[in-house]
Amino acid sequence: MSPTKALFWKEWRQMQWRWIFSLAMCCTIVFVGLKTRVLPDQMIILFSFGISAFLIPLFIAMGLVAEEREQDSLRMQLKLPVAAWKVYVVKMAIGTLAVAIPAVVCSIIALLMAGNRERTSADIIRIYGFVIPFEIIFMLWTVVFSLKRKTQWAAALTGVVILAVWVFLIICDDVFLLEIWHIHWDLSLIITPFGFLEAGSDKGPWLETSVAQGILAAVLFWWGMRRFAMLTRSDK
Amino acid sequence: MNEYVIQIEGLHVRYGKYEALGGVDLNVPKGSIFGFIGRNGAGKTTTIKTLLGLLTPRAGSCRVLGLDVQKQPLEVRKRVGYMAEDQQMYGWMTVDEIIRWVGSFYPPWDSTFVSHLREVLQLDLKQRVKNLSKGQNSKLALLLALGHRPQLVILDDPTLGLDPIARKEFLRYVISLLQNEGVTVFFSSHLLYEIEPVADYIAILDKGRIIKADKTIDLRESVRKLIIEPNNTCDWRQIQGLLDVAVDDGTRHASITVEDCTPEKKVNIQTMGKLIREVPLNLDEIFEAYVIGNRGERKPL
Repeated sequence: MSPTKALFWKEWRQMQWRWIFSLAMCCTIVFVGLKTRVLPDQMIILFSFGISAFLIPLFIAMGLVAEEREQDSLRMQLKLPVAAWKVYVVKMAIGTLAVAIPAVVCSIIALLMAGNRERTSADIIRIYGFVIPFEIIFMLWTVVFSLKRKTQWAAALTGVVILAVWVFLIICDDVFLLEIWHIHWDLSLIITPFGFLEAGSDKGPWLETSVAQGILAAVLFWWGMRRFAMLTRSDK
Repeated sequence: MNEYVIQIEGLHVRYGKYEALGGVDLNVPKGSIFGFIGRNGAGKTTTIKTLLGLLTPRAGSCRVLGLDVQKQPLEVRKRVGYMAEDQQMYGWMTVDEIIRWVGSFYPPWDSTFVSHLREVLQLDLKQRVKNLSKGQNSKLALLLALGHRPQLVILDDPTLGLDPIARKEFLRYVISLLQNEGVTVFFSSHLLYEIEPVADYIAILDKGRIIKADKTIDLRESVRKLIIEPNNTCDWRQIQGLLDVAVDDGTRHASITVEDCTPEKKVNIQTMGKLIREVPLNLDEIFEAYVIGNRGERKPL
């Protein structure tokens, strides 16, 4: 096994139960809800959307670094002859897969069971299309800002604070309305991934959000990589 | 290959405002068992982490097996076997999985040697790491540190948390194994009786500085405790290399501990009082004299 394969194997095995639990929870809600029709399809899809967007990224982010710090096993990983940035990149790659797969599977189930029933298939695809980038970005922010947290609950709390700040920015969106080159810009929808929600609507800054979030994510990812490499120092 | 496997010059490491290492100089000869001793918080683990490239020094340089640690940290870690104090491993892995996983990071991993070692250390491949006892955990950590047949093994308080019997048993395994392999062992501990019987060289670290480094045998020979009946006018601070003075108020006998106790020095000391007897010291007492010795900082009699 090559070192990179070994890193992927270990991260995947470590995240396995979290990933399976997230997948099972999300799919069960979508499947049972859409099958029994106890609620309108819209409600079931939005409910699974909420779980995928907010809970799963938190749950996965808690397991990527904070769990290892809590168990003090990260020291073992970082003393091996492998660059810390590689460990970080593999962790983020596995985290991305672990948050994205449940949403993808849910969208397929929803399309197969409720496509063009109460909502059009295009609507369903749009909703889940928002979830996937949102949850990846939310997981990235939570992991990066909780790198120095030593417990899983502290990491989860960091994620909740990030979410609260984003919601606050959305609520106070009047403050962030700017007019540049005769174009109205809602900065709150650009600097938070909530801008993805407006995908396809007339006022939605979907493209701007994507570009801004892409740049922010790249900067955060790079900053996280540097902070992760410093963990050997703080783990004294 | 250089005759020294570890060369440290003027090493300074800081954690924020706290200076963990304040100018460490050390050379570890090839093929030796080198005892690195110091109290908790003296800077032993910081030195070792710097040797492995896990910490960046503020000043100074480290060379391990001829490689510059700051420039080639991964190459150094590939060539060195490191067993950390109280090492936590992935509890969900089985012994077999963790051996194969760690082995994949070391290109020269010797599976035959590892199988042999596993049998000697009596480790069950199917057992989960979280179910291993502390002793078995230490044995597994040792196996993982030796699997790539390193030229240098760094043991950082390897027996921490083991009971006295397990500690002795473990050390017996380690030393016999490594002596047969001819590797250099850099052995850090605060348990001096562990180090004394096995170390060829000793370095004493205190408050981030090396206060003594020598061959174990020379250290034992050169540091002596002299029991004397002092004159009324003697001033201990005039004794060169004085480490500690203790005066018995009842007998008025003074026991003075001095380093480099040459015959000339003894003659000089005898001008301060009548020599009653000379006592050889064990490493524990030598360490104590260097680290908490009062250097004669008391009122002269």
